Amino acid sequence: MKPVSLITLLLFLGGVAWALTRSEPSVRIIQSGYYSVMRPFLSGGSAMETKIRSFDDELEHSRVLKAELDIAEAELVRMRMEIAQLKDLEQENVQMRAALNFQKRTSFSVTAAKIIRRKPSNWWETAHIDRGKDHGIRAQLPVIAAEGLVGKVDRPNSDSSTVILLTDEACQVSAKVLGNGVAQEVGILSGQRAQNGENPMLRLKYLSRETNVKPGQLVVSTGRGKLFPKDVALGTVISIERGSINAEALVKPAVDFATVHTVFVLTNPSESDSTK
Amino acid sequence: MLMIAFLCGFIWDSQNSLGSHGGDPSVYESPVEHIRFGYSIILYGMMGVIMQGVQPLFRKGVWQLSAALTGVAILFYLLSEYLLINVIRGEFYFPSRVFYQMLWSSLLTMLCSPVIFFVLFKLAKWCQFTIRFDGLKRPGFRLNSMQDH
Repeated sequence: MKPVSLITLLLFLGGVAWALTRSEPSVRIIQSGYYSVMRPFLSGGSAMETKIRSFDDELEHSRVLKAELDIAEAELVRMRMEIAQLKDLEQENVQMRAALNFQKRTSFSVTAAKIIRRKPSNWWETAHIDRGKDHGIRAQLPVIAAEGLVGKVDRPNSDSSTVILLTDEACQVSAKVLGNGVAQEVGILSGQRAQNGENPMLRLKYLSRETNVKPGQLVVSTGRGKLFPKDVALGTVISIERGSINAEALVKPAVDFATVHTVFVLTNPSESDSTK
Repeated sequence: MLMIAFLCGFIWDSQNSLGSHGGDPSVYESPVEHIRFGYSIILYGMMGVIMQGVQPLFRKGVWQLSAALTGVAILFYLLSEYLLINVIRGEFYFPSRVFYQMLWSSLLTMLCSPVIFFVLFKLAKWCQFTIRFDGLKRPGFRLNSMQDH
């Protein structure tokens, strides 16, 4: 082997050893630097992807828009009636709280964000949102949509963040199954390895073997574990698999991850949780 | 080649590495393990070694074999990456759709690679670059420059 080749090989192996021995904070600094450099390219790519997706969505939905409009109008009438009822309830609630001298309920503090890039790799279920450290986003903050939990912030950059989705195997949520309004079973909910397609499923693990969980029951977060607020919708039980030690439930996510475009980052999850 | 392998692996890991799960360890007792930052550099290096093997033919303008090998190398990369995830996280799980996903990615790469090779040939011609490789000194290789093709 030529001396130059040997030196190159040694440099390569040295570089590999250096990279493999980086601690997590060092990796975060490297990633932050990478995203700072790549920001113009990624933003351009994301903008193009968003435009193409919007155009595709418009084509796909134009046929059903009329039917949806009719349904929406009927829904609007119903909602208006519900709002009127809810206003009465709210008034009653305010009066009761005042009477019982409850603490003033703190509202959720959320930051709205748009998904600008989806699933950039094969195995990791992640998405990029257009809000970052500049907007008060931090790592580990929960991300929700109108339907339920989307995931949590994994890596905030200055003006964008990477969100690890609930459908990823690495995103674990302490969850409980609701039945007739009473918490029945508690377990850990997570995605499944290497899922693709439009209907990803979740697994609720560590249920007791004799669980009486049934298909159709709702799964919500427990609020334990200091990551996610409690009672956020996660999904619906589809089936139960009983093992020799414990049982697992297959859960359909509450959020349609293929169509969700706008999400909300809870910037004070502990505060909102404590008020529940 | 090693420099490009290092760069590609470094960029890939910078883009995809995930942080620790966080939260209360008494609740999240079994967080999912992640592959260490830097593993892609090794995989890219191995892919580079595979591609380097057919460099003499590439210089002669036989890009077809390199294109086919690109697909093989990507398949090897994805398979290695997925097997690593299985080893680290446990519970070996290899459904057929994962294999088809790998195969599809490899085929797409293979189909796109001639475009990259074309750009490389043009760049080499523009820079008047010639591949230097000891294997070319062996008898049997016609030392045509790739600019001839």
